[in-house]
Amino acid sequence: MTPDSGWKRRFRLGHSRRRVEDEVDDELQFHLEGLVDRYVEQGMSEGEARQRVREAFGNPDGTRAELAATAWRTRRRILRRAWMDDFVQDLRQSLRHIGKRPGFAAVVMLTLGLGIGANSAIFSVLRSVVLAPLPYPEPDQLMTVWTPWEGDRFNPVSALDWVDLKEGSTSFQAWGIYEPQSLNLSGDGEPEQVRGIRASAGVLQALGAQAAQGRLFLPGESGNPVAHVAVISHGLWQRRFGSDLGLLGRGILINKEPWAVIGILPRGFRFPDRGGLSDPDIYLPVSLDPATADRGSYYLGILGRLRDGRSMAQAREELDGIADRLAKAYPETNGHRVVQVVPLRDIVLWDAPGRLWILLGVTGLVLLLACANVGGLFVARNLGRRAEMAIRASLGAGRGRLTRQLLTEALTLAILAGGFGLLLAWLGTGLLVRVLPAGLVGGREIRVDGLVVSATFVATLLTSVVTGVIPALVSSAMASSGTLREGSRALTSGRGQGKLLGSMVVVQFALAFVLVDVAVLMVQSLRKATAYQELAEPEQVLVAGYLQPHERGEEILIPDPLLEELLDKVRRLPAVRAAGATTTLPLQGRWTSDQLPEGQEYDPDANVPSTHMIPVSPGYFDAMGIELLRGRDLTRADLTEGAIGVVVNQAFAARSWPGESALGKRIRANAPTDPWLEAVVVGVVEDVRQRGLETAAEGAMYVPFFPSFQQDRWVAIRTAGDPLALVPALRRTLSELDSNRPITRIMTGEDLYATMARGRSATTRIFGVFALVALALAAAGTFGVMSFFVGQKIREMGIRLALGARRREVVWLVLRMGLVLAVVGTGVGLLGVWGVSGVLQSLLYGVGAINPLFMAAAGLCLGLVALTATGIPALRASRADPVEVMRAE
Amino acid sequence: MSPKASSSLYGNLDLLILRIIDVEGPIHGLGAMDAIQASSAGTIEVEDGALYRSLHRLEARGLLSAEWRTSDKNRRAKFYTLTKTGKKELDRAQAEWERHTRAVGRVLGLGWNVAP
Repeated sequence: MTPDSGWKRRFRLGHSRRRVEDEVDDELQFHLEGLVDRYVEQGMSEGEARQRVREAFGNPDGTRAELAATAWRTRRRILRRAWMDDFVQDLRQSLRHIGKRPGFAAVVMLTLGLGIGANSAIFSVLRSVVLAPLPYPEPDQLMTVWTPWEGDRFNPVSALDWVDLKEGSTSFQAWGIYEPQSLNLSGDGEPEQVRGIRASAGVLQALGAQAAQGRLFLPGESGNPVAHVAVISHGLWQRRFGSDLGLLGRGILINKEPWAVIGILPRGFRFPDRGGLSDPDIYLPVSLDPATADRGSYYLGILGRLRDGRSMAQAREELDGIADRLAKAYPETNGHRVVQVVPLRDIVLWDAPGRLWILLGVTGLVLLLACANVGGLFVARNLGRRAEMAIRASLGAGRGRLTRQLLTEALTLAILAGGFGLLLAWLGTGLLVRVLPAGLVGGREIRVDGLVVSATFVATLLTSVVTGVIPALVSSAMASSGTLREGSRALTSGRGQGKLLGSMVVVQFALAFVLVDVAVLMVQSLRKATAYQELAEPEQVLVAGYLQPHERGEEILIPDPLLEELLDKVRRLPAVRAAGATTTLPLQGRWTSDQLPEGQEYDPDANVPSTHMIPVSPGYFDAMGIELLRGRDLTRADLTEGAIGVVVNQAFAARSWPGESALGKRIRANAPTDPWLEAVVVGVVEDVRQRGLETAAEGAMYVPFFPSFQQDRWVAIRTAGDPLALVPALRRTLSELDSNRPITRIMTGEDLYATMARGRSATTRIFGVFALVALALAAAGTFGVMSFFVGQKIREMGIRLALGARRREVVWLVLRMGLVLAVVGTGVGLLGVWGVSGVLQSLLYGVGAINPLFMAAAGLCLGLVALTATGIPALRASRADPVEVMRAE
Repeated sequence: MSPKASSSLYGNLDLLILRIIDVEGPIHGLGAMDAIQASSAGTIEVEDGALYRSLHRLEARGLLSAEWRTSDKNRRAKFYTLTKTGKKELDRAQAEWERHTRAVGRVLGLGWNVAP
């Protein structure tokens, strides 16, 4: 026995400090007793001898303590050393095993790596976007208030309703109204369009904003008259004004009027927006005049901070009471209007959480699949290694030692896979950021989350340990209980393990089926959403935007001489076929209003479907490529007060006057008396979607005037050649008319569609990648398991062939096994698709979640994979040489 | 062990112990004490405390390994063996000692400074 092994035995008995001290005592005891014996032999009495020995030793306590300390050091050194020795040995052996089967190692690494990577990426984004608190103090107290029609949601508030709500409520410690508004900034350099927020003092106060320099708004500065003061962002201050502190108190030109800068916000302050946090450059007080405001004009956002101790429900209850009073006082506008209180957080996150949780569900499936796959592979391999285990056990390798070695092997593989997964997580996070709305991501650092990676890693580690070690131990137990004795003849797979392996293949097929089906549905949705382009030849259209600022007022027939002059000049440019303008681009509807078509009477209790109001100039339909179906285009004459001509879309015509011609029909604003709009239909155009690619077109009215609150101007120009070639001429034309007016955005008609499809195509791409990964995993798993089955049955095949079976029959025998598993897996997958169809439908457009055709396609796809993955092992089985196989016995 | 330390008293004792254990094989502390005394013909007497401190120090440095065995008197005793590193250290320290004493001898004009 080597000295080391003696020590090792001792470790098992415990290696506490106390033990070490006992050993020192034992050693000294032995020494002293030896000396005593010696003196007694020389003739001393035992008492004398002890006395003598004690005196000779000197300072026994000090020596004892010193020896114990040194011995403890020794003990720890040896312990470390022994552990390292074993570890190095195990590691070396593991690497040798891994090296012997590089294919196995590669599949395990790839599989686990994909699982770890995808999950870490998605959960990292979830944590840094959805689960992270909003960047305001006590963000849970922040609420938004909306005043929708009963049964509807997210309708902004009107100025007059706000005044009443504010007077009647005590729920908020600070609250206010705001309205986003684009602004033209000129003077001090190039004119530019910037994002602005008109807000009352309470909004910034509720958000907990503090001025970095100067001050923020005072309550009296909003309203009527509005104080000409401005608060600007840190970014604008740096970018345009070179961080000049002298700017405070100075006037800047906003929409050609001077506004005094009174404060600068701190760096990184963001304003909450639907679907994200935005970074507006300029904040101006909101102007509001109760004397002229219209109770039915809904355009203001309400943002507030609840008083300490007040709940959202209490606030809603209080506001509901006010809404009831308003309903009685103003039945026309408020009869069926309710108050909706929504946490700011829900507004900012909007639909991102749903999308991310679905993605997380999908990657969870992939991780499950990966684990099942690795599990199957380990089980298959360990079955194959039973003979080795049996031999090693019979040679005296303890169960602990075998466990430790298998553990090291599984861990080594898992760690390699983890490294690979980390790399994928890093890449995947970048890809995911593109799927999310820019405002949500902007300004927040999205990084691979250490906690997330470790959690996923631990999960996969456990998987590989459970699947890699426990089955092996079971088999090693079986090994020691007689596998060897029975000879290699008994080394066929047990019935139980065959079932286990088979069920793992089934699980993989089921998961892969779900993913492939979802991917096919997503691709089809994308196709549906983008295939249909209502605009004619959108690639021939140039769309350019600029801003026509105006204080909000009641006037709707506002002349816009700049636009008319611009369009006249543009129409004379070479290669221009048609030109027109609008305030609202296709797919991006904004202004809606309640309009009563001829034949319907005013009824305060009726919920009139809202109509998209789209201001356009003559020539717009031609330029944008919207087909005029009946009647004529708008003309200047249609602007005559009292007989305003409008064009409606097919949806509006069909909804208002089914089966009748819309031409000449009258329309008026939904009010009991004195409607703000009375119009007559002069034309009908084809439907163009207003709310993005994935909604049906709704009723719309194209009106010939540009009201004061519609400040965007989009000029559409249809050209003969490349539309972008026209840009310099367009810029020149605009700056000749007004040198303070920047063109803010330029795109083609095609870009309109592409921009809207960006989120969906990225999501679809991700699902596609996942589906391919799942397919690859299922193929790898099936191939591994079938190869193993064939390896186990090769003797049976050989015997069958020797007995005269045809090769085709042997191939079929194996193929049938694989196909049965695939069919069962697909069946389970069908149930899975049915189970998730509800969630799934929210992701889809123009196609049902349960679609037999696509399911058949997915099933076929999986069948092919099963056929390929099983085919190779099957062919190998058919080539089994009976003589070889029998000789190997 | 630095060359300077090897010339201290502890260094001497360490060297003696390494040598005795190398020669006598697995041996317990008492045996080592006796062996040193015997092979120096009674000239060198080792103090018990210093002996064990030295043994433990050498073990901690990995120059000795130890195991518990039953001694001839049927008692459990800790037996020390020289490790591979210990053997190397012994060779090195022996050469060092030889060089050093020879140099001292030369300085003192003693007659045994024979050429190597």
